[in-house]
Amino acid sequence: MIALLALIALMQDEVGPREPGLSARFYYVGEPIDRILPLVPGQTPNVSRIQETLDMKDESIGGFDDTFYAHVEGYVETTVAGSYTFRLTSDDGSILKLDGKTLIDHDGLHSAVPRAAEVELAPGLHPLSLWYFQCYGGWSLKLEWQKPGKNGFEIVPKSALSCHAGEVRVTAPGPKRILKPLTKGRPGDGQPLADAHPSFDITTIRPDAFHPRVGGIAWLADGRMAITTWDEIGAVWFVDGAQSGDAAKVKLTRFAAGLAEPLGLAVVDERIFVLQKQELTELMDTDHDGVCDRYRCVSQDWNVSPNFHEFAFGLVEKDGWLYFNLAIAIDPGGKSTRPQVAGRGSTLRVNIETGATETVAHGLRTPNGIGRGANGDIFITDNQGDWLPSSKLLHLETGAFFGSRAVLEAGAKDLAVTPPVVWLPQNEIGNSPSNPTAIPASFGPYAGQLCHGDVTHGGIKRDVLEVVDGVWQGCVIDWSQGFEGGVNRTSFGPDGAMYVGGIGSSGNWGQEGKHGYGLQRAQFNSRVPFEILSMSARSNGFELEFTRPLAAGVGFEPENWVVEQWRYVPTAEYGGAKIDTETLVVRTVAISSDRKRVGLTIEGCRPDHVVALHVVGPIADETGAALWATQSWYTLNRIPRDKPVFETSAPAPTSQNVLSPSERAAGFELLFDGTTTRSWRGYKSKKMPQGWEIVDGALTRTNGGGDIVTEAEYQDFELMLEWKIATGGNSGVFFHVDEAHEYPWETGPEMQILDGEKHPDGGSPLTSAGSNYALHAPEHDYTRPVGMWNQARLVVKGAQVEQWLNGSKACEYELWSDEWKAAVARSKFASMKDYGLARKGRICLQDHGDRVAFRNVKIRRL
Amino acid sequence: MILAAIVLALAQQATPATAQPVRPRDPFVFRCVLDKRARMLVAALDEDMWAAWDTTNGAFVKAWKGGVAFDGAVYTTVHGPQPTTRGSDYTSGADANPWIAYVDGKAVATSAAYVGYTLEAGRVTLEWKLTFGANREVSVRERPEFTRPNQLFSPDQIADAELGLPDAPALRRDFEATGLKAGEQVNVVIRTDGTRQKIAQSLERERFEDVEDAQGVVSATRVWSQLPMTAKAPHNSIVLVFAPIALAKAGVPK
Repeated sequence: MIALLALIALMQDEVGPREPGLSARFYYVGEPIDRILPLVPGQTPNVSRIQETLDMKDESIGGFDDTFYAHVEGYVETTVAGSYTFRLTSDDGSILKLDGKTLIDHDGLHSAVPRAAEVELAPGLHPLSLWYFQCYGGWSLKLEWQKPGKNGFEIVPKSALSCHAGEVRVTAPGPKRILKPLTKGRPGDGQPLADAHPSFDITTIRPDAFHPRVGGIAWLADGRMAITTWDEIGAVWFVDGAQSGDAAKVKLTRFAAGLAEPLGLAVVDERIFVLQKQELTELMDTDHDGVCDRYRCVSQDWNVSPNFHEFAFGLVEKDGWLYFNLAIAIDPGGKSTRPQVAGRGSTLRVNIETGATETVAHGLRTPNGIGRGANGDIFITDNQGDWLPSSKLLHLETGAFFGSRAVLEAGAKDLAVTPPVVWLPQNEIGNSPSNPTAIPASFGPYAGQLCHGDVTHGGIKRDVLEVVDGVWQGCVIDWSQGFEGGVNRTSFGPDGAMYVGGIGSSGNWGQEGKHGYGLQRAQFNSRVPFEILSMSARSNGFELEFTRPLAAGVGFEPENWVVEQWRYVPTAEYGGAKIDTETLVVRTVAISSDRKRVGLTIEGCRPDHVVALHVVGPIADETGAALWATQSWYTLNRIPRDKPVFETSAPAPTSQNVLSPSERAAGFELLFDGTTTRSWRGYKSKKMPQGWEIVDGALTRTNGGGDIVTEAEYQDFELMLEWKIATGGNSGVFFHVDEAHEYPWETGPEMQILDGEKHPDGGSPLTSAGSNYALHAPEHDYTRPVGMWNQARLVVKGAQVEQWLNGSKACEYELWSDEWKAAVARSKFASMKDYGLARKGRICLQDHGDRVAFRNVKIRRL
Repeated sequence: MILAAIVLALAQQATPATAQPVRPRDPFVFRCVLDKRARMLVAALDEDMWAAWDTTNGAFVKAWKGGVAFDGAVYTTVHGPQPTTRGSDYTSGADANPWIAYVDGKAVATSAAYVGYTLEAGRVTLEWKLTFGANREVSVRERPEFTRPNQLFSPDQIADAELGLPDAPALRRDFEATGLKAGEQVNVVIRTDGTRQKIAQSLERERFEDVEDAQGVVSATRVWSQLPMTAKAPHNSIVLVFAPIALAKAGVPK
C-alpha cells in the first residue's frame, strides 16, 4: 500500500545547519520492556551520538546491550521525486515516522524480521524520527530503502542522512523511567485481587528452611496436621503445632518418604492414606515409633503410563470409599497424547477395606481438585486444555462424562456431557484450579459455601452454588490473595482455621512472584468487608446478597450493574474463546429494605451461558467502603421457573443533589442543587457562561463558554462530586485558583477528568483521569466506562492533598514540598511562577471544549 | 560338597548382620517412573548396587550400579522427562511375572499382586500375594540386600567355591512363603546367567534360553533358575555374585 505522505519536502534553508548522519540517543531502562512507551520527560540519555547509518547489531551501547530505547532523529534527503520503499528490520520493536507521520509500525517483541512500506516523496529533506527498543537477547536495527526505479534494497546511505549540526549532547548514567499506561481498574475490580482478605489473619507456619510443595493436607486425631510434599523426597510430614499459627512452635516429623508424586492425603479413622501417581497406599506405623514402617498397597488397579502428566489427584473419603482423579497424558508442549491409556481422565473410588476399585466418572483432563461440599457432595475442578475452553468446577455424579474426548476420541462424541457447575473464565478468575472444600461455620457469613484455590491465578475463590431443575450451577467470586505460594491444597483444620498449602513449578504451574511452596494458616477475624456474598439465578434475572447493607440511595441505577453473557464451545484446540458475547440490559434494580439484597431484572439471559456481573456503579456501603471484589461469574445451566426477582417496597432512591443527614451533620454544603447555578460564575466574570446548562439535574458544559469557578474561596476543604465525560473528552477540577491570571491552570492544581481510552492524554499516567495533572499519576485507571458517573473526592488540608476516584485514592501529594517543586520544575508549569502557590482560592470546573457533566457537588471546610 | 558347604553357611545366616547398612540415598526405597515403566519400586541398597521391581506384575527388573538420573518436575522442575537408570546393569531382562505355583507337582496359572513393603531396622521387605488354583492365596515376602562374599563366607569358603573377589558385589534375596499347604509349592524364577556364581539354598528347574542375533546366530544364553518354597521349607535364599563394575564417574561406564 502506498502512503501518500510527503509530496512536499522541506528545503535546506528551512532546517538550518546540518551535519551528516542521524542524531541517536540511547536510554537504558534496566527492566523488561515489550513495546515502545514514552519516557518520563526531562531525562537525559545514557548515550548521545551521531549514527552515520542505521545498520547496528549486538553492539554494546555505553556498556549495555539490553533493556534500552533508542531515539533516532534527522532528515532523509531525496533527490528525485517518486516512490520510495523503506524497509525496517529490528529486534525488538521499532516505529519509523517520516514527515511527521507513522510510516512503519514494527513495534512489539520480535526477532529481526523486516517490515516495509512504500511512500511517494518529493525531492528535498524529510524529517525522520525512529524509536527502537531492545529487551533481552541479541538485538539489531537496520533501515534500508529502495529508490524509485531501482531494484533491491540498500542501507539508507550516510549521504542521504543528516541531522542538526552541533547539537549539545548531554548524557547521564543510570536507568531511565518509563511512563507505563495505567491498567484498568484495581485489584478486585477488573483485576485479580492482590491482597489477603480483610477477614483473614494469615501466618506462615513452616520453619524457614522447610519449603514444602504441598500435595495433600489431612488431620490426625490428635490435632496434628499431615501434609504430603510433591518433591524428590515424596514425603508425608506431621506438622505438630500447626494450629498455633506460629512457625516457631511447629515441630516437623517425617513420617513417610519415597512416595511417587503424592498429590492426595486422607486420614480415615486414624488410618493414613496417600495417593501416589501409580498407587493408593496406606501408611502404617506398626511399631508405634512415630514413623511409617509399612507401605501397604490399597489399590493400583488402574492404568498408568510413564507420561509425566499422568498425575493422580485426591483424596476424598466418603462412605468408606476414597475418591480421586486421574489426569490424562500430555506431550511436552501441551497437546494431549494420542492415543491415551484407557481409563485416564477419570474419577475413581477405592474401597478402603477391600481395595475394590471403580470408575465413577470420566471425561476429565487435569483435574487437580476434588473435595466435599457442605452437603457432602463431591466436587471436582478441571484445568483448561483441549475440550476444555476454560477451567471449571464440576459436581461428581456417577457415570458422568465431563467432556474431554482425549481418551475416547471419536467414541466420546455422542456422549451427553454433564455441564460444569461453574465455568472459571481463564485468567479472569482461574487458571489452574485446585481442590474445592466447604467453608465451615468458623468463617462467619461464608459458611456453607465452597471455596477452591488456584495454583497459577493464585489465591482462593468462593463458589456459591445452587440446584435448579436438578442441575448444579452457581457463581465464582474472587475471595483472597496474599498467600506465599500458588494455592494447591486448602483444608480447614479442627480449630476452624483455613490451612493453605502452596506449590509451584515450571510449565505455567505456579503463581508469578510467589514461592513454589508454602504452608500458611488463615484465621477468620470477623472483619468482613463489603462484598458480594452470593449471586442466585431467577426467572427474570439474578439476586445478589451483600455482606453489608448498601449505602442509602445507591445502586438503584441499572447502569451500576454491567452484565455480560457468553458461552463456551469445547473443541480439540487448546482452550477456547468466549462465544456469542453480549452485554445484557438490566431493566430494573430492586433493593431490599435492609439494603443487603439486590434484585436485577435482566433481559436476554440464556441457559448454558456464563453471566458475568461487574458492579461498576458508585456502590459503597454505609461507611463509604467500596466493594472488596466487584465481579461474579455465574454459570447459568438452567433458568429457574416461576422464581422472579423480588419486588421491593424499599424507599425510593435518594434524590440527586441533596445532602444526606450524615453529610449535613458533617458540615457539607451543596455547591449545586440541581436547579440553579448560584454557587458558580464564569472565571473572571460575574455571570455564568451560556455554554453551561442544567441538564437532567446535572451541571453540564454543553457548548463552550469557558471555565467556571465557585463564588466562594476555600482553603482546607473536602470536595465530593460526580462527573461524566463525553467520549474522548477532557475536563478537570482546579482548586486554590485565583483570578489574577489569564487562565485558572496558571495557579490552580488540577484533578484530571478524562476519557483516557480515547483522549491522547490517556497515554500517560501523569495526565490520566485522577491524576494531579502533569505532576502526580494514579497507580491504576480507576475510571468507569464513558457515559457513566464517576465519583471524585478531593481533600485539601494544609499542604496535604488526596485525590480519590471511585472509592480509590488515585494520588496524594504534599504541596510546596521538595518533591512537589521538583515535579513542577519538570512540567509545563515550570514557567508559571504562581502555579500551585496559593494557600486558598476558588474551585474551578474546566471547559476543555468537551461535554462534561457534574452533579452531587458537595463541599465542607476543614 | 564345596557348594553344599557354602549353601549350608548361607542357610545359617538367614538373618543378615544386624548393623544397619549405609544407603546411598534417603529415602533408599522409593517409587517412581523408571526407564519408562510407571510402577517401579527402587531400592538403593548400596553405592554399588541399586535394584528395581515392577509392582505391576512383581517382576524383578534389574540390579545395577550407577544410580538414577532423577529428572522431571519434582526433581528438576522440567516437565516431560522422568527418571532413568544410569550406569551399567548387573542383571536385567526379567520383565514377566516371576512366580509359578505347583500343585501336586503340576504348574498352575499364578498371578502376583503387590501388597506393599515394610522397612525395619534400615532394611526393606517386599510382599506379594500369589493367587493360583481355586482361589488359593499365598503370601510371599522378599528381603533383598546388597552383600559381598567376604561378608557371608570365610576366605576358605570363597576360595573353595571359586567366588572370585572376596569383595565382589553380590545381591542376596531371601524369600519366605506363608500359607502353603501340603502338596503346594511356589517358585520364583530368577535370571542367573551373567553371575560369577549363584548360591542358593535350593534351586531347581533351570532353563536355558538361547538368544539369537539378527543373523540367527546364538549370541548369548540366558539361564532361568527357580527357587522353590514349600510348606515344609517356606524359606529360600539366593546370592548372586557379580563381577565388579567400574564407572569413570557417577553413572558413566568406563
